[in-house]
Amino acid sequence: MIGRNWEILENLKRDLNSNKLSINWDYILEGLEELEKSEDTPEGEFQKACGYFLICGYYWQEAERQFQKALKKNPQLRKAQNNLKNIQEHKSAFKHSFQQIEF
Amino acid sequence: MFNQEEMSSFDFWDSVQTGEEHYSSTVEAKVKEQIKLGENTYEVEVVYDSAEKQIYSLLYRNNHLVSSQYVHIVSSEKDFGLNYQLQQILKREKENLTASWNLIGVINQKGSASEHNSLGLFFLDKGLDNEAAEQFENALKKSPLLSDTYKSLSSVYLRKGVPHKALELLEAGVKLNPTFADLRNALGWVYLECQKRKEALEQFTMALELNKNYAEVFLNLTLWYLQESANHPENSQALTQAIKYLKKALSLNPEFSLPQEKINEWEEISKLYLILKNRVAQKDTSHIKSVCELFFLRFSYDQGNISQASWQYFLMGLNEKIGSGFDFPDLRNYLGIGYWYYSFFFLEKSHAILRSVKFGKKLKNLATLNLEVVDTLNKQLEKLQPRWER
Repeated sequence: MIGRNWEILENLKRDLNSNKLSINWDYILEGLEELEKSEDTPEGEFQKACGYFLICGYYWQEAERQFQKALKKNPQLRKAQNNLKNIQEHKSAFKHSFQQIEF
Repeated sequence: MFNQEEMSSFDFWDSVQTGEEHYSSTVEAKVKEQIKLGENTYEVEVVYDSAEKQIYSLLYRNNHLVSSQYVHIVSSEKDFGLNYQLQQILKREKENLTASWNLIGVINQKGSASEHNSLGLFFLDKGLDNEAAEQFENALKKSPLLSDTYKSLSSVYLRKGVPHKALELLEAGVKLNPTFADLRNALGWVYLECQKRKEALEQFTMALELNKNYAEVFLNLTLWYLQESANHPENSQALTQAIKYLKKALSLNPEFSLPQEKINEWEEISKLYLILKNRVAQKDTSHIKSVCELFFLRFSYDQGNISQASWQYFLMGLNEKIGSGFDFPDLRNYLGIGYWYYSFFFLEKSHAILRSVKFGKKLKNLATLNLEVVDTLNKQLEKLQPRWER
């Protein structure tokens, strides 16, 4: 279990640092589910903490995707323009933090 | 042909489902619970109507029905038994109502104008008119230029049966926001209800000048000319104008194709008008928007009481709404913000573990390092928080 979990974390981190355009939620959520089943040991807890941290990145990508979809429907929608700008301005900082996480 | 009395604007507009309809329906199963909030006793009742095969949530205040709303079952709960579904819905409805009530104090104390407006929208959707009016009035006191709020507050006044107050308010709103087509359309509608036909036409025309593809205004103009034609059958131009605006409205609705044969009978036009008006009402997103507003307010002021499961359910509901023919940009914008906020539950969990678990020698340094990364990121995110626009 522990060995498999390190693999899941590696995969999540690698995906986040690539420029994947689509998110395979089934794969991500299954990974998270497996991590959550981890034993109640410090190592298992550490893996969960890393998994929870990395999953944020997927939700931010999804948020970005939703703002883009909103703008595809209405390119003039100012609130979506500003929200997308917000998220894109901070993207490099987010990416940087995912690179910094170590396990 | 109908006469003027038979086609009052209220008859045409009556597309909103009232709670009374469910008294006569076949209620097969129901669960309910009372909540005491302030001076009032509220009762939330969730019923399954076997005739309609729908679940409704009914809200009573001091034994008087104030609202009845259709409840969508998210796909992940569809396979569960009816009783489980009803219990889950009841739990969530109660949670939302209690949260909205608790937010009144904090928003009245330190909320911005738009936060008053957000809370007002939730109360408006729940049929809690007095609470909604209080929030909208507070919003306008803090920011008289909040154009949407004029429209929302005027609809409370209309529901309370004081159209003159709605009129006064919208006139003031239009004066302050003369380029807001939505507000002009709303004012035109209230003029129509108050039989100020000339003023109504003026507002609809101006709304159209501001937004040339405003489908609802085309429909309102159709109604105006239909009424004109009924009042003055000798005026053949009125019917021609009604047809012109109906065609414009039809052309903006991709789900409708224009009838091949010529439409020229009053009854035909009025029937098409009603179908289209009903379609517009079906596409109404005010309920889901009010839920979004409540959840975002809770994120700012009531985070300790929102469970991750509640947020997940809210996101699933919104996502499925979008997927079921409501793919509107503003709902996508809400969903984007919703996903963003959702990530905080995970960030918090990560932070809590890294902070509290006693790690052995091997992981201690890594955990300390990761905790620093989480903390730094969290600080950055907090700065971003007030910049989201909905």
